[in-house]
Amino acid sequence: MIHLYAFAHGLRSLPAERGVGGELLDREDLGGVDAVVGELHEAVAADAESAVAHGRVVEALVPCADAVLPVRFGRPFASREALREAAAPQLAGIRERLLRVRGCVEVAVRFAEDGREPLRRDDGASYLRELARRNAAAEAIHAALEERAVAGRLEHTGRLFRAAYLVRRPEVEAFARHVDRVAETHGDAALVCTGPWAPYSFAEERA
Amino acid sequence: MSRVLTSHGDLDALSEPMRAFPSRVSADPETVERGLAQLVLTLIELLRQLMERQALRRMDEGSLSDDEVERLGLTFMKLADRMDELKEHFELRDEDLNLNLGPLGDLL
Amino acid sequence: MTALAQSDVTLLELVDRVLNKGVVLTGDITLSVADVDLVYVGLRVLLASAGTLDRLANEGAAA
Repeated sequence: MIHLYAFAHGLRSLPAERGVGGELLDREDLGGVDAVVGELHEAVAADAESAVAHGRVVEALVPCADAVLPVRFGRPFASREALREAAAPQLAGIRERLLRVRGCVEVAVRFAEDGREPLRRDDGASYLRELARRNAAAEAIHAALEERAVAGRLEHTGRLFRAAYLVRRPEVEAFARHVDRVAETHGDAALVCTGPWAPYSFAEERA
Repeated sequence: MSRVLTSHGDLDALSEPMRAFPSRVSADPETVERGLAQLVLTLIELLRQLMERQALRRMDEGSLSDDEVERLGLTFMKLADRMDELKEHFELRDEDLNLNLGPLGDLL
Repeated sequence: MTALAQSDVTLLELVDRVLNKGVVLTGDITLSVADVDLVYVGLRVLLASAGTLDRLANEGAAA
């Protein structure tokens, strides 16, 4: 069985990091693009431990290649041939996205725009206005952060906003300082910034 | 391993959903039901956000009457309350309703 | 932020990425049975024992 970790361009060497089944990593040449894989003798449990192991492999790949496109934790392929077949129709898109993330990493920012005040209001109109205000404030923070990034993505779940920024590898520290400055000018925002990550949020097809 | 680059402000607001790990995960027989609830509530949450977004856009444009704004606002508030109740019932946090829905997720 | 909290946040972000983001290799991108199955894989990871994530977070704090 073949477990797939990521696609890579300009892969110079494989890291020593062991895979989800404790296996050594291997590569499968798909024609200019490498699939980074691990051979398993039996399926691994889809649990937290495997997810963390998968993630560690992907992060270990970042310094080893020009570009890394993380693959989501999924079911293993029956064989290398099965992997090639599954990858074939998407190869063009994968090449394109590898180019787009080349030399870049992802910085994640989570923020809450409301402090501890609940959103609930006494009347519907006030509720919508407060909702609008918070969304606008979050989008302003996002726009300010995005200015210093190659690309950005914003999503919100409930009361939280989550953003991912594509940043050139040598500029991560400078970007973190930029996050500091933006946080200061938006006084009430609670915010946590993590990275660098492999560019997970920029790996999928987007309209 | 720490990848925290920087943090600011009152992190309690952020830490509540972040505390989705590890304390509430369990491996008992009810978790399949909980898994399905997670999927269903994620979809409902997606729809709710889509509708709220639509309403805000129209409110911005001025194409909603005061009465409509009031009624929509009340409905969304009630919907949010109901979602909170359901989440609490299934012991799910905002973080848990973050499933990747592929092309549906792109609607937002 | 405490060292342990930093480790928690790191773990959370890592696992969230691994489960919910990244390339998905399927032929069909509509919300079909196969896609629900993929989502289900994500769900299954959350059904880990309470001890495992605690342990992983603590190991991470030492690293």
